[in-house]
Amino acid sequence: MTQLISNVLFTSSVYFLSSFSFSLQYSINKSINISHALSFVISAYLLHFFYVVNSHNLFISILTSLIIVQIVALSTFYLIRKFLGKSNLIVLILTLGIYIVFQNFISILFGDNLLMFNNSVGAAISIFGITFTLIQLVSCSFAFFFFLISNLVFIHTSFGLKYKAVSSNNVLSEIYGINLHSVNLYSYAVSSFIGSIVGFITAFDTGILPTMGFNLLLYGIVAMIIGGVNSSWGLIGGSLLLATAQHLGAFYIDSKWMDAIAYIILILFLIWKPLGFSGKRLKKTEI
Amino acid sequence: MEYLLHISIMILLYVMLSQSLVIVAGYSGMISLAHAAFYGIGAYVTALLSVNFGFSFIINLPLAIIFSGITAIIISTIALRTVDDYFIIITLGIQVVVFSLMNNLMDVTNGPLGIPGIPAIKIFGFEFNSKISFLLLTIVLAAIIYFLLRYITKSPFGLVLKGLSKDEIFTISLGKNVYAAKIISFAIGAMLAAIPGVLYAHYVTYIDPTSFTIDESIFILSIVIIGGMRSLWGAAIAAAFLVILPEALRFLGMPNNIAANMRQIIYGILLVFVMFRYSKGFLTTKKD
Repeated sequence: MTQLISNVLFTSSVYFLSSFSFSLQYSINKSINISHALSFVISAYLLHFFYVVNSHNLFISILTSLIIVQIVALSTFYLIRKFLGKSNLIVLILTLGIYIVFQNFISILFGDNLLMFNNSVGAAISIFGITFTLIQLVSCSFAFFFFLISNLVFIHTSFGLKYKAVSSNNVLSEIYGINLHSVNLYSYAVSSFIGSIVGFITAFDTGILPTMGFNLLLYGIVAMIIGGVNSSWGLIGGSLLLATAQHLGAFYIDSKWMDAIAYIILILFLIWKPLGFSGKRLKKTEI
Repeated sequence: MEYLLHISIMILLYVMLSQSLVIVAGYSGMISLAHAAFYGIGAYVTALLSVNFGFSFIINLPLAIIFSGITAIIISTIALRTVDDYFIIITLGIQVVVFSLMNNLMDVTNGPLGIPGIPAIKIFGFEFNSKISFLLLTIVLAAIIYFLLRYITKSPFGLVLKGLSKDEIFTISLGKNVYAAKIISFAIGAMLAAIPGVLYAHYVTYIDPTSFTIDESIFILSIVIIGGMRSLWGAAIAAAFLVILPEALRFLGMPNNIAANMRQIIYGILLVFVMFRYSKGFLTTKKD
């Protein structure tokens, strides 16, 4: 049971980071950016390339990977920005195209096989009788840190207030002089930075595959839909519910049903609780 | 010659799949990522019935179509509680759930091991076991699907679908039952997608869940987008292009594994290009 608790906490933290990073973009534009999955997968492969293949220092490898991911993410942002907030469908298909191109380049360069890290961060640590690996603790710490920081930033900083204004009403925000472009740019930068951290954590924990980014992104989106957009408490709740249901399902039924369980929860939410935890409407209009 | 016949059959299967999605995504404005699930349902229904009970193609085909239609009606009543991006996400979820059922229900579907030994199609004593005869059958069914879809899209019901995809609220204000129209078009798309599924199962004689993944759904949707969301001929030409593409790359001496990735890279680039240059697709007429 203690193993189950540590797994649930760890998976929740990964889902929270994924959903938080995605929601930073989604809250502003209400557009699904599939290419955000590249932040997870490119960071993981770059870290593997620098740290494992070329045996560079871990800190240097992480820093270099973060810089390259920022370049890719911001290049994507400049490519899609004219459609942001205007046509959600075009953004979705466009970013899907970008994601497919990069994911297949990664497959050609690194192969489709699972690549593992020399797991020196997998050492076990016991807290209150619950055993965690170091990477699990790192993940939970990052999730806690970003949860606190997000609440502080959104309440106490000028950028946070601008961000909340834009996500609430971008037309009115522009009339009041808020620079939409810079708010968008910063949120994409922060979002891809957090996405890179998710990529690093997953790489150390389970190894890397070219398709890992898409799955992580989808779980993040599911957690966001369950928890509700624009609420870090909702994201925490959605991530915890999703991870708990998946691990209980794996514990009592079979781990092969974990994917199905995640989407069944999503479907059940859309039937019985279509507004998510936060109560935000999913439908645009109703008569 | 056999190779060319095989490519032609595969093109026609994707033509049917993409055209069946045109009515859902193009005319009704519902971007569905669950289309491979209905393709898979068609394949699994015929495989299970023919292998376990010895049913013939003539019985399997309508049963597969009906089963796929009923599943689509149930699914769409749930999925249509949402719109736009959320609809796409929920259809993606449905695709994952259906794939999980195919992959994990060992007692029914044989899981990842798949179902081998699916017999060739036999109609009134004639066995379609040669590629040329199978191609002719596929052409006939593809033509039926094309003319059926052309009839539907030009009918008053097709106009309702066009109307709701342009302005749902305005269409409701005209007294049209938008919700029912969406469910019907989703069910029609799913029922028609089951037909290539049935043909595919009998053609390859072995099916497993990996042929009906989310990647397959994305591929079918890409064909529709590249071909032009509302163009049946556009979807057909795009399907032919994207099926021939990896074969052409192989002719250029590219290894098989890289050719598969290159195909995806090229259709990824096409998606980006289409969205930038022609937001309605390459082959859409001004009227569309």
